[in-house]
Amino acid sequence: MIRLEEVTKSYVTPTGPLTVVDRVSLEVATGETCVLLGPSGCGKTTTLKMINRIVPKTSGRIQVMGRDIESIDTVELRRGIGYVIQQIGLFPNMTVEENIGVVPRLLGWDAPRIARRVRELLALMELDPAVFPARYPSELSGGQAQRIGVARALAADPPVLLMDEPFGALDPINRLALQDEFLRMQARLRKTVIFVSHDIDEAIRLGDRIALLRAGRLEQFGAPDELLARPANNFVADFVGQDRALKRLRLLSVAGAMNGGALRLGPEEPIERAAALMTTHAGVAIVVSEQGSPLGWLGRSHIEGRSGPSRTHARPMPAVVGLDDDLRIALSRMLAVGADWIACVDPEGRFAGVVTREDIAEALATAQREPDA
Amino acid sequence: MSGILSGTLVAIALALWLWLGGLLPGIWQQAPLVEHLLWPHLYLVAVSSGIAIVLGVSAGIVLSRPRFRDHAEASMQAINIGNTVPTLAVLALAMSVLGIGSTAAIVALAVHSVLPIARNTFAGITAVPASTIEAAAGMGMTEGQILRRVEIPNALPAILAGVRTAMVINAGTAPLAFLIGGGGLGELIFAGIDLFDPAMMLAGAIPSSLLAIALGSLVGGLAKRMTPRGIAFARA
Repeated sequence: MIRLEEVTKSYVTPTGPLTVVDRVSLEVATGETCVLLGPSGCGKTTTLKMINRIVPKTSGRIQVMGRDIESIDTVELRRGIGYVIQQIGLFPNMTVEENIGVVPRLLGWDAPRIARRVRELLALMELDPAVFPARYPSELSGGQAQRIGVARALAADPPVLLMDEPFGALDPINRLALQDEFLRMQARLRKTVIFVSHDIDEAIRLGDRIALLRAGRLEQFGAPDELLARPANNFVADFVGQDRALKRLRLLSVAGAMNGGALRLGPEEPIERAAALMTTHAGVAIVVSEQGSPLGWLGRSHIEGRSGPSRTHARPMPAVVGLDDDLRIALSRMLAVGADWIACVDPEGRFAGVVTREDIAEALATAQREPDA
Repeated sequence: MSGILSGTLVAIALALWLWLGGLLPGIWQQAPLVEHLLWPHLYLVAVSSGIAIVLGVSAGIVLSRPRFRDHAEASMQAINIGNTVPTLAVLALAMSVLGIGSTAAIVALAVHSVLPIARNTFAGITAVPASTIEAAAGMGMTEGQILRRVEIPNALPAILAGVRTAMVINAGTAPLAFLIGGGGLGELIFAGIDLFDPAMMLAGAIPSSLLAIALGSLVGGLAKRMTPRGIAFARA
């Protein structure tokens, strides 16, 4: 748990005091990721650096895991907090293994334990533990180097991680890959993370909560969907973007908006039965195989005046979407094929239901956000 | 390696020229004296270089500490001025304070070679990126641990380059120690000049310049070996 109470940082300048962080209060629960978001110069990095006392605060109180940071020796405090920075800051004179092992060595772990831990972390970061320990930072790509940076921060298994725009210097593909890895890692490790970013999309993807700052003040603090659905003021609305309704789609899962699991029809069932299904939902019926996979669909125009097994009249499926996908993907696929509904399948490829445009609109309106998987 | 190679080439050319000019036998005649003077000469160079390394590296480290960093340039200028004073004047000053003898010579040589070491140590340490230091501090390294494990290893190539420059300057200046009674190969050189005996002069000059070349390539080789592998990769 991390708690900031009225935290302020001001500098004395020749033209008078300059306040870069102004009475910021926020609380991040254990196991949550909080993204400090804002334009450059908003004080987000300064706020982060006050937590591990890289920057001394002017006033206010900061608690980490229930302890006031002023009451703990700086060195001890920092050894209990993982720290990742945008410039990565790997030590060029040390191998990957030595870099990751820095904090464990400071804590006095023995060599075999450090070696085991290094290999474990490399595997967690999807880097080959047989290849990377002996490499030097100059032999790594940017993406690899930042994975090592994250591994190094996790080395002594600190409960808290501070990450200062860790993926900001990477190309978009690597950034996405590292964000995915971060989410997987976080699902497993449940660290309390404070993550600085200027990228609203990154914040929505990674944050359980977002703290949006401007000129040192906290403009809004809440779950991503809250910021997108109910921006507190014009600044927040502008910052999250005109397309914030579309961005919200990313936070809503297909499973939550789906309907019509009962639209299914066996391949040999008579087509006359389809008409009964269509009255209830979306105007379609889905022909489903014995194993449960969708074979094709029937609309009203396909069944009028026809008879025989449904299979012979079914149209090929235009598009499907996975239950775990978000509504943005569902809508995108619907738009791509010009349909106003899309069939949903579970991870085994079995038909589960249908999402229509109306379902998506309704999901946005009720903001029934799925709890994080 | 290239130092040794060019040194060898110079030596061969020199030997050829001396042989043609008939100076070789005259120089060879001085061999016992050269042997006698070589050890005091090496002693001068070794002790004064040792002092310069210890002082220079310490000064560079102290000046690179955050609380001194702002004043570092002024201190560097002060040491710089020490270097703009002509070598002879430094020797004369040392003599006037410490009297005649090898102690004064050692002090003068050390003063004269301390600057490149101090400057390179300072430059090497301050060149370590601030983000690297911040990462180290953020991980909970103490100031001393950052210095020993991060700053010095990463500054080592620069420090050793400074040591190399300093030792070449030192060995090249060492013959002047004779002028304040410091002994060494300078005795042959200055006696040779006074007696219009080029062979005698060369008998002192050749070994002392060979020493400078040898020290230069020795430290150069040492630097290559001591540079942490990761940094060597980064520079390649």
